[in-house]
Amino acid sequence: MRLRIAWATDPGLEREENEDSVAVWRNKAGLDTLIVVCDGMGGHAAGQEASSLAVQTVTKVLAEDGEEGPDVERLKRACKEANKAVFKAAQDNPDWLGMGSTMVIAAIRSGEIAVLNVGDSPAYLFRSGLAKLISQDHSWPAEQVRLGLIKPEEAANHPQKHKLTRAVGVWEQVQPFTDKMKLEEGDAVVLCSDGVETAGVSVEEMGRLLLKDGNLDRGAERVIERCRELGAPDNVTLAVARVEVDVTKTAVLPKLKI
Amino acid sequence: MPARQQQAAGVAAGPQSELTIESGPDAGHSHRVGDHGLRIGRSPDNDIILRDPATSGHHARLERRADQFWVVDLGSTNGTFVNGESIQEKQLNHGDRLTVGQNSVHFSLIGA
Repeated sequence: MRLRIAWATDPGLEREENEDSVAVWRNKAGLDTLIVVCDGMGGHAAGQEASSLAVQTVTKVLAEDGEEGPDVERLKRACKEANKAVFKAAQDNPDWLGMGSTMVIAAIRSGEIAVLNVGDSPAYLFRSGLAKLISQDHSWPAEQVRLGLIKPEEAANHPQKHKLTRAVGVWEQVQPFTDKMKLEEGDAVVLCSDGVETAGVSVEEMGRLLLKDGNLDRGAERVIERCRELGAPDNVTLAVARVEVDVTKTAVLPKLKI
Repeated sequence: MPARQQQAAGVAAGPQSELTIESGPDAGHSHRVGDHGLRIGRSPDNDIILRDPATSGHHARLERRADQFWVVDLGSTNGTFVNGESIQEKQLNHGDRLTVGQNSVHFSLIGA
């Protein structure tokens, strides 16, 4: 199973700083592919520091833990270390007090994927033209929907949409969501910051822009361009891993319609 | 102030080089590398600060060893590349292209 990887990022049109951080690894840490996107929050340079430290800690733990494969417990341990590191940095430096970050990770090997997330940076699986959210939204309204207190349609434009119930580095404890699944040929896993949605690009449109030709790098750039066309009020970052279709294994080629 | 620049170059003990950022959010900036090394990264305490989500806080260092310039990766998350090849440390030649995060950085020897 061969994977293609691409990523792109842009500060957007209204922000000077880019508070997102991204890691894209191939054949490291006992994995075929590791992609991580973190979206930092906090005043001045704190958001950038938080997301950068979170990505750095997670990747370092996975590189050095001596383990292999997409194991959710492994990702949880790395996430806990990242939480500790960001929390401690915020305690030690008054400028960084209250900083934090979202985190979304996809770890892939041999057709298996482990997903971890904290916060509202989503992970999507695109399969056969359909998009599925494979992370859990830890925004305040999404949490209210899960508790049955408000309806999903009330959550969409909720005033508290950007308030997070879970984050990396804000509290002493962190409670990540994790999942594990199998990948099929042609599947694409996309991690992004909420800047894509904030710009007004729907999940379906993102999928079309990303996957409309075989060029993933160009696809990622098309998503950024579309976000900028729509005003991109927030930083936009996305990272994608796609399982290539092995044409040599296709037993019967479809007949051409003449 | 060409005279003063010449004087400064005269005082400098060895060869000088230049890094030019060619793409990424900080494209267009040039930085001189001379007797003292240069640190590249996202944190404010670097000599070259790249505002880039794929660049680590302390990403890489440029340094001169005898008459040669070297680039050293400082354990960055996404790695440092010279002409597309991932490196830990590498001697640089005139015209080499470094990749640090989403930035393409051109290395040139001054006077070469």
